[in-house]
Amino acid sequence: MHRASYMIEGVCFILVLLAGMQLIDDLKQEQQIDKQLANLNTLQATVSKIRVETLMIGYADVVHYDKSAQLQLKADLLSQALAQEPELQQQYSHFSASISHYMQLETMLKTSHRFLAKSLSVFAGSGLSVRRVGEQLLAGLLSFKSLPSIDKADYLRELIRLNDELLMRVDHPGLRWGMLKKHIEFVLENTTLAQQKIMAIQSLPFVNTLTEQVSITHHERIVLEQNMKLSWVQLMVAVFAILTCMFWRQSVQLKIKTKQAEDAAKVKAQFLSNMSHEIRTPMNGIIGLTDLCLTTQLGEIQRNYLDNIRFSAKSLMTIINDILDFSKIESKKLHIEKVDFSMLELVASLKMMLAKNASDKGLELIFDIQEDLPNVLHGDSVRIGQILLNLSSNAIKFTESGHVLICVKLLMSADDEPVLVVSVKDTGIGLSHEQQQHLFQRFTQAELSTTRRYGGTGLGLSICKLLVELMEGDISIDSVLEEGSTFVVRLPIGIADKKIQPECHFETLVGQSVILVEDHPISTIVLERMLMNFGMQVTSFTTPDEAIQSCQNYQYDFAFIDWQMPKMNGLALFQKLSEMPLCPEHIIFCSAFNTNYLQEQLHACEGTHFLSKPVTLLELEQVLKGILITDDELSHSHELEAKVFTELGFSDSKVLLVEDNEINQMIAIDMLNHLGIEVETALNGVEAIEKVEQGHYALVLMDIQMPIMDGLKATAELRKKFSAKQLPIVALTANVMLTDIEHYHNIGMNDHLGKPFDKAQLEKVVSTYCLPYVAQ
Amino acid sequence: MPIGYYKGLLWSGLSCLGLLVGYYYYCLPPVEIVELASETEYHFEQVDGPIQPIPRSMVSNVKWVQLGKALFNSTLLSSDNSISCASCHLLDYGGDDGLPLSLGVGSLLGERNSPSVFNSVFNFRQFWDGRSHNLAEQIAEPIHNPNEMATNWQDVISKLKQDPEFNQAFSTISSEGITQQAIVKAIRLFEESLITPNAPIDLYLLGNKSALTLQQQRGYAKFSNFGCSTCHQGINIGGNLYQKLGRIDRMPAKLLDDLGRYELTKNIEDKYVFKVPSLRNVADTAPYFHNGSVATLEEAVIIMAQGQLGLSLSQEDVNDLVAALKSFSGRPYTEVPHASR
Repeated sequence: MHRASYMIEGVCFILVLLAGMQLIDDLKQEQQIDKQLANLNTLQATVSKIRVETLMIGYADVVHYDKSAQLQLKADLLSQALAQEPELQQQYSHFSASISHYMQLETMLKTSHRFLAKSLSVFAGSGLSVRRVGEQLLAGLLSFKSLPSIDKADYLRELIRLNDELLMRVDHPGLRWGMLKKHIEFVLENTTLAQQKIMAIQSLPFVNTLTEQVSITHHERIVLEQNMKLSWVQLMVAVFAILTCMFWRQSVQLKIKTKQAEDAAKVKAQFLSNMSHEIRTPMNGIIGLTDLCLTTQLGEIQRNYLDNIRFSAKSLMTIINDILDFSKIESKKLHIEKVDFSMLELVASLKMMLAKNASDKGLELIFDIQEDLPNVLHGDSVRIGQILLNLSSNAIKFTESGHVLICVKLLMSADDEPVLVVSVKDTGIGLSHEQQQHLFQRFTQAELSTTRRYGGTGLGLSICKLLVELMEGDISIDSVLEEGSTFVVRLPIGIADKKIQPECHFETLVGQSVILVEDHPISTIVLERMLMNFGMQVTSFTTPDEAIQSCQNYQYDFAFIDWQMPKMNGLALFQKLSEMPLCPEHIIFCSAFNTNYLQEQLHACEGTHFLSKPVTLLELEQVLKGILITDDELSHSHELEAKVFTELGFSDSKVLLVEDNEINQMIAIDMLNHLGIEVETALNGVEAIEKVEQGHYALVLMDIQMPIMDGLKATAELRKKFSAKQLPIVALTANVMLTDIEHYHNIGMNDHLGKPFDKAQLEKVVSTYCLPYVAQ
Repeated sequence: MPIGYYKGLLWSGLSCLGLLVGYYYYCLPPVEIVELASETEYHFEQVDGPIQPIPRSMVSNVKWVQLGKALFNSTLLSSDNSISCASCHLLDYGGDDGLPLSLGVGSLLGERNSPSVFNSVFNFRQFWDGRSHNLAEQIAEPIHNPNEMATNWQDVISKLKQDPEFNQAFSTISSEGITQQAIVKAIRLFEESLITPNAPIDLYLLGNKSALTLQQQRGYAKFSNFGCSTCHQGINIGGNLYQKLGRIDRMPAKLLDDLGRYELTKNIEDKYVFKVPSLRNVADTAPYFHNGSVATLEEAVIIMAQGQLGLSLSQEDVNDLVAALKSFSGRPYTEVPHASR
């Protein structure tokens, strides 16, 4: 920030400084005023004492003036300290001088009067004339003393002049007329003067000035106190302003930082989107070409290699998806959707994805789905599926032998809210207590060696945890090393369809007897429960021998036989059973084995049915339904029908592929040709618009990022002339972020196909948009 | 927020504080309190009559007193290191120098007769004309007077600082070392310790009737009766009042060369007005009067009786009064003052 922008603080600091200085000045003044006030008060007290002492000087019993002298000294010093009040000092010095002069006169007058009083006895003892004159003299002086006047003084002076010679002649050791005359003269001259002085002292303005000064100083003190309060407030306001300024700057800075962080997050999201796009484009090439390659004439080794390439590529896609998912969740870019979905369908698709892996490893994969699970739930099916897939594939990955049991239940929470509880239990390597602690941290697998042995990014469980938390659920683990682990996920879920899964409609099934031959105990329990749910009577055996024995005595309506069992496999058992007189009416094989292989085997077994493991309620129902409605192969005909329909439907369609990447172009053309669809290509948006205007296309497959004109602009242009019904446009893109897809729909695209896509996905899209056109 | 911003704020705040603290000390010198009482504590005794006895015990700070004594005797207090306080106030000879006018630096004559330093603490003002209120104020005068020590505080302090013993003595009792205030305090406290209790008159007044001879007792009675004690009263037998020379009668011309307080105040009423001098140790402090022009006590008594009281004394009166005056001499207080403070 520029230096000048700190002006506010600078000004505030200057204010603090000024207010502080003002305050200190005030403090200084306060001290001085307090000092002055104390001095003034002491002076006032001292002065009044001095006045009393001065009045008492004339009294005979005051024989020394130490006290008066001390008081005068004290008053002098106090007055000296009042340097700020020169007028007062001036008046004091006048007051002090007056006192001093009065004292000089009064003390002498006192002495003179004493002499005169003493002379009375001398006069009294003298001759008549002297006595008379003396008495006249003393009476006159007494009268003069109490009320001096010029007349009295003149009278006394005249008296002395007339009798001077007479008195001079008096020879008495106690009477010294010469001295007495001087004293009388002194008294006559100075009594008036002394009285005037004492009157003057009493009426001097000094005392009043002093009192006034005290009250003025008091007033100054009060004003000063107010000023000091004001200075304090100023100081506080300035300090407060600095703090406010600081906090304001902090908040501004914080906003800037937040903005930067948000921008960085945006950049990161953009980068992720780009990465996703950049990675998916070549992956599309790899997977597509591998798929295409596999349809050509190949030797066993090459086919094996290509299978492995495809597997590796798909693994890589999984890892990339994991990383992208994780980043999205971390940057809060992932939104949890709330849609209606069927849990059973979710489980079915999970089975599709897992069954092969499990059977390849020879693991028993078991689905234990609560029978009365509501048909339609409300939640994010994609994410729930992702969690289930993650946990299940982990379970399969870390289990060498035994089984993987996936339980799905709907419980009610304490506050009566539905909670979906999914548990995945395996018999794998398990986890120690320490390992469980770190399990949900990102990039962490149970141990470093695990990474080497089992591969993987270590993100799976972290993603699961983050997703579960996003859905406000929780995930927990219970595991014993070398014995297996159980992951339990609890998710709050909505129930869209309050109706409970309808009970079995096939009244005919109720009471039917079933023999179940299954060596795996948990599989047995699960299947038993499913069958009982249909109202069937189930008898189960763990070995074929026991089953054979039982069949000798009883005619069962249905037989469910596990294909792979110790000692005897399903086929051998079937052959033995079919030879028996009380052979069960319908025989259904259960197996996780490769369908192709089994179908070959089953050709030999006429009249049997097949149920792929893990058995789901839906499939079981379908199989039983099929048996009851037609004894023929329902599934076979269904497949056939679809195939014919497909071949017929697509024959006339023409599709425009707008794609600049040659490899991707080649893959898409090949795939579409396989479906019997005619393809024309355009390299960019401009070319595409030209071609659309010339010819008529059932569907446009539009790449988004292209040179010259990109897919978005081209679509916008096309939508000006053709509606979504007239010309379906499907985006072919590696941008699979939710926000991107929404954007495509807004622009007017009918759908999108994420790269890399495989044949099945392409077929689904083509069938959706081409057929309506054919129907027209 | 850059860390520099907070540092800036902190430093600005601290410098503001520093400036304010500096301003505070610059602006607010320690308040000087008017010292109304002396630091020495005397145990006064009250008696009936105009004359009050000198206290027989006191409490003071012995360290300051000792330092004061050293300073009192130090010639460093004069410009050419020739004289000290003690040069004119000889403690063994009544606290003055026995000269009409004292000799200062370069043998210049002082303006008035040196008064005794003994009991000067009990005078209500200092100097003949009372121009200093107390001893603390008085000390600066002779130091600056060109006819006396003719120097100034700066020179005195720098000279004292060069003296290791004074340096150490000051630093042990004063945190600020050698300052004007400390020098004044030391000398003042020393001077305050210079009192002369137990004069025969004090002992007599305090009840020892045999402390005065018969003649002295007669003299003391005359001292009161004639009116001497009108002015010469109180603890210092004078020293607490101003009075005019020749209030009643004429004075000899040799005493009228000085207008007294008039020189100071220019007030016509202050002509020939002097502080009434203390008569303590008067027999030991000849010559007399403000210019030292009267050599004997007898002459002084006669002049005073005539001028102030209009009295022409007989020889017997003079003899009795002089005998009484001799009883006013005490002995210097020798006990070390208690080091209580």
